[in-house]
Amino acid sequence: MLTSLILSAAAAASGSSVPADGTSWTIHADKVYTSTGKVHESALIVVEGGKIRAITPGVEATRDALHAPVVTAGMVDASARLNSGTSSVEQSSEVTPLVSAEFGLDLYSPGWGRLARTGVTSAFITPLNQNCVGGMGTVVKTAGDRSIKARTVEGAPMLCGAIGSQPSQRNSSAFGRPTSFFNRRPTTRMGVEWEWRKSFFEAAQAKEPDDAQKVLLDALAGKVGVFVQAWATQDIRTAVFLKEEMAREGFGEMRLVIDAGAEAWREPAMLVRTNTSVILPPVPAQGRTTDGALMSVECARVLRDNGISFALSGHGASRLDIQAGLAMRGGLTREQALRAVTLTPAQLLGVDGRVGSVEAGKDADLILWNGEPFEATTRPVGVLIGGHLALDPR
Amino acid sequence: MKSSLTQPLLALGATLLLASSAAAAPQVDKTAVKAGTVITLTGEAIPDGVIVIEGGRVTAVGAASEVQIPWDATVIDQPGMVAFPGFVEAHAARGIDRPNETLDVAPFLDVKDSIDPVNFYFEEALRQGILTINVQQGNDTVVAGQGMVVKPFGMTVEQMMVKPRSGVKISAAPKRGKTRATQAQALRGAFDDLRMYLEEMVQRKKDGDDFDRREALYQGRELEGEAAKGKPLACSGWTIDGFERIPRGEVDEKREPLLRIVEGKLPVIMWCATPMDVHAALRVAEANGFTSTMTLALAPACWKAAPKIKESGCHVILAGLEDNELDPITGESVETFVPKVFHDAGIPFALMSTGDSNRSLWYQAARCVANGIPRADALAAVTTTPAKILGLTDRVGKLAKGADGHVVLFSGDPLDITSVVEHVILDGAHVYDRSKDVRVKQLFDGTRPPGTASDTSAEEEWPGDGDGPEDDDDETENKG
Amino acid sequence: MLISCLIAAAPLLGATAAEDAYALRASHVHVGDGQVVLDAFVVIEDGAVKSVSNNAPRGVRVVEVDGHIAPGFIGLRETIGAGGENEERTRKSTPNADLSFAFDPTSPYWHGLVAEGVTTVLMPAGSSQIAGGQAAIVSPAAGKVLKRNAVVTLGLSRSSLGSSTAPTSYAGLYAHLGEQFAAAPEGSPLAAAKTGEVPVMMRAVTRTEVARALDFAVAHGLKGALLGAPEADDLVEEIKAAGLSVVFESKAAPASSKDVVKSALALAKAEVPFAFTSDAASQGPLGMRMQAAACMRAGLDAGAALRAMTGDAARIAGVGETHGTIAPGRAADLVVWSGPPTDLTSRVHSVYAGGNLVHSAHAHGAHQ
Repeated sequence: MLTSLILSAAAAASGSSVPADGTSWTIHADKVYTSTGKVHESALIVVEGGKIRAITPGVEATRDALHAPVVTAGMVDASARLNSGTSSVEQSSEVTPLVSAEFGLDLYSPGWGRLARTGVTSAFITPLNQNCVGGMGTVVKTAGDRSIKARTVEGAPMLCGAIGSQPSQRNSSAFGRPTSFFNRRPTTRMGVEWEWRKSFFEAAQAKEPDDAQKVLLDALAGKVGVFVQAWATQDIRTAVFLKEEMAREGFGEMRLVIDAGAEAWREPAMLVRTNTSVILPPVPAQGRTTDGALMSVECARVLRDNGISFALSGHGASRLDIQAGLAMRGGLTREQALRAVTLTPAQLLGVDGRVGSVEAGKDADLILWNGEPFEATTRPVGVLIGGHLALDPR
Repeated sequence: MKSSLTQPLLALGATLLLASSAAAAPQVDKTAVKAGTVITLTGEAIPDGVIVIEGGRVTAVGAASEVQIPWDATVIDQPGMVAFPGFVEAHAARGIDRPNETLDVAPFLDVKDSIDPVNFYFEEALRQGILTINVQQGNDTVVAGQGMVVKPFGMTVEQMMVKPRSGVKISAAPKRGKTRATQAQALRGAFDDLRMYLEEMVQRKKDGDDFDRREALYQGRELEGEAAKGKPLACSGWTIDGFERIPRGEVDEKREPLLRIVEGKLPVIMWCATPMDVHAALRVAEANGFTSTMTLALAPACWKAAPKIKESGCHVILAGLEDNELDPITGESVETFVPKVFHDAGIPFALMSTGDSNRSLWYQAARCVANGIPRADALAAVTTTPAKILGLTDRVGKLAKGADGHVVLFSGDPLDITSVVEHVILDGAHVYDRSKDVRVKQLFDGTRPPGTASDTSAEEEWPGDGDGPEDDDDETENKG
Repeated sequence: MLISCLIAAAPLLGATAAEDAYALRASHVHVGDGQVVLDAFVVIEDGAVKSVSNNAPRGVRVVEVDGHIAPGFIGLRETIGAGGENEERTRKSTPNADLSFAFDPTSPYWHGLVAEGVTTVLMPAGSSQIAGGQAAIVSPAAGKVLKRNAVVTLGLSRSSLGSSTAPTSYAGLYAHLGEQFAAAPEGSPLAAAKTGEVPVMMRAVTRTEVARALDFAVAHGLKGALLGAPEADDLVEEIKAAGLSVVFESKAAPASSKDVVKSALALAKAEVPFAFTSDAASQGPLGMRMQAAACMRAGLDAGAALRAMTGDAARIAGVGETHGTIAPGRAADLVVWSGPPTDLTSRVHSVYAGGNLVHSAHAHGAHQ
């Protein structure tokens, strides 16, 4: 029944393979930043069947090769927020662990083309954050076959949701004459946290957990990651305390990732002690962003200095390459900024077996730049996704 | 203007930006700025260059080995930095009270009555190295008031002023509540009204009616000197026979700016939101003889009118870099990089900064480079071209002898994403030092203003099982 | 007044008239499967077509008609005559609902429909329901229900999502529908749909909705048609592979009509059956003919256009064996037109349903 949704998505994903008709290319770059720390000079990359077959440094360009000054891996946007709005989240209940974000996907939306052309080759999509626990997220390639099965990249299962003001916004008091199911709790931040805690407690204490509770139990045990949107310090704190409380109760050790952690820089110690990772949202124009969170370009550097694992995100509207550049403006090195938009998000999402770096055997998701990446004076001029040209440099 | 104002400038420069108090501010008549690279924008960049500023004006620019630094000059020596002329903002409706009046036609208004020297916009402009700003009214109008070119430093509007009455904002795009037809009618009407008024003035003069003279005196205007003289109408679009009989001072205050517009004495910045607006704008300008003194301020969609604009010879100011359209057949989004269209058409363009402090004029110019516009042209769009539009070619937008003594010291190349403005020298005075910028420190270092929550040294721990944890558990169980 | 008496009286008249065989002779008989027989005699007996041939029949009264004979249109979605009774607003799914109960034979609306050449109508559930019930096939001219529980209607488009009622998401919709199908007891309509006994009509509009509907149909072994799918040309292979047909919603606005035209041509090329609904916004069957004409203007041949309103439409509604074409054994539901039925300048002269003359334009002057 409802499990079939999750299972079919997982089955389809594991059964999906690289497009059989993957185009083959040779690409020559003056510099290849692999995202692993290695930099190849004057290298030739051979792409076959949609995969990177080989990288050979120190060779001249061949005549038929695509050329670019710099090549990097395609970017992985860990919070791309390209879903079809309210129809992607089942709001009849605040806790819906079994809903999969793939049902909200509209692969015909022009936003995919825009993401692909600006160098984002894989995007993590979650249900809209109107629910406390919205459901399972999914990693999707931004171009290719118009079939969700073919474009899904199987990774670590992630249970997505939000802590803060967003989930309670549509709800109103149930007193008087209730006219819709939005006349319900939670109507406040503490109500939102209560929903989370209640769901976990009930799952942990259920004699025969149902399918939804099984997912929650896996989340408590750390088998399913918990991907929580928490903009402001108080919300990040709530998420961390929730994790610690569950551990103290003996329910297990959650793997916590804070999404849109704009104020993660304020109290890094609690993130360090709980081994929590952070996805940073786009830098706001004038300091303050959603939920009044204060954020500047230096946030990424602060997280780096504290040894917190973090990735950057574009939320669909902001270019991810410019976010990486702004993180450099705030103090990251180019290599660190590159990792934050390629290998680190791939690792956090469990898809680093296929994407996130320029290495033989991985998917041919590559960006050809017209100069050093992430400068305001450069941009992607060529993008390959699974060997297909999403942006033609010629 | 410069040297006499330098002392009060410094004295009143004790804003957030400088740590030193007014009393300690030094007298600065001569300044020499030495930098690892000096970008003059008049030729090649000069390695190890120096700029000498005396009496608020640049008196010498060149290699340190070739330029004589006055012995009594204050030297600012930054071998690791890049000196740059300071960006020029061709048009901004910010730093003022509200951008527009509700009146359709109000050219007699002046932004000098609306500029707020402590508005955050000016502080931010200084921080971003924008040293010359043309403050105009907003776009929601038919004919708006007169603008003013200012520098982002000073405690009064007079201190900030660089060039008063720098132009009038007119909109070809419909004002809120108007349709395209009624906007065009209102625009034509403003000039038709002027024409009719001038004709009536001549008729009254012929009839021996001195109503206009009495009105002028009643309004408190002087009718002496230049104001007493009459000149023929110098409008290339239409003419009024006998207008030379009218002493210029008698022209009604409310209409006088329009008269100067049609005579080409008061420049116009015409806002267009769609390509259709461009055609309407050019028609009005042609009919009333001010095409050569008009600059078009364009929304991104107007790139489609580039050929028409090229014909007109007008300069443009671009309010937006990208135009996104959905292809009606394929459903794909088509993006056009707008400045490239104008660059390729050979139309001189200026760029505008947005409200985003991470995407100021340096960013706009850098994106042009990313999209294939040569660096020199991209830099011109934020310096020499807007300077030309504002009629300040010899004064701002470049480092050359005779220019205003403005220098921005960047930590690296101005278009590099990691470069920031470290110092600003305005009229020879050192008015900004990033290391002392309190607001920057607040944001970046997380330093809190005094009296607010303390630092993170006192770690927050989960309160743990205090009173009532058992109750909690029981409750949860019962709920099940 | 007069016509309703005629319709009401028809069954009575039919008692005697049906025994008499008679033949209609016309210059053109459009069979409804693409063929046109010239100078033909259509022999009608007992309310059904006995034969279509060029040979004059013996011992049978021949009525010469001045015009073209074509099968009556199959109106694939008519809800106005139901008086709003086809949409259950308190629940999203009422899979066992029998929509024949929504049929009101006395509604004055049916007269206009018959006068435009529609002889058989499918009455489905409204588009805001997920599993709205079984559509019925009715004959508005005869005023009776021809077939109950003919088609299972499913709503899989955005209209079926609630904003403050469950489900609010596509995930919720499919979860709900999956549950309904899984829980359907043997012999129930949804179970019959799973075995292919009863065809389905699934409303899906955007390409993504259509793709999901196709996946669902294939997963549950459903047969039938998609309703809506204006951009079906993007998914022709998938639709063909799933063995489904498409019913296009006839559009008045040129912008949306263009998509339908492209898709109809693509499906015609791929030999996937398609039809048009007869309830074009405020224009009724005329709108359907205009949609067909737009397709013909873009290159669809007249035979295929007519099929989409007759033979294929009947097959999609599950009554292909008995309605939709003029062939031996089929119901004698015929329309006499002043010219080719797909020509927009043609008008209805007379309508026969079950062999009985139920409408004649001349009796009412030029009023159409």
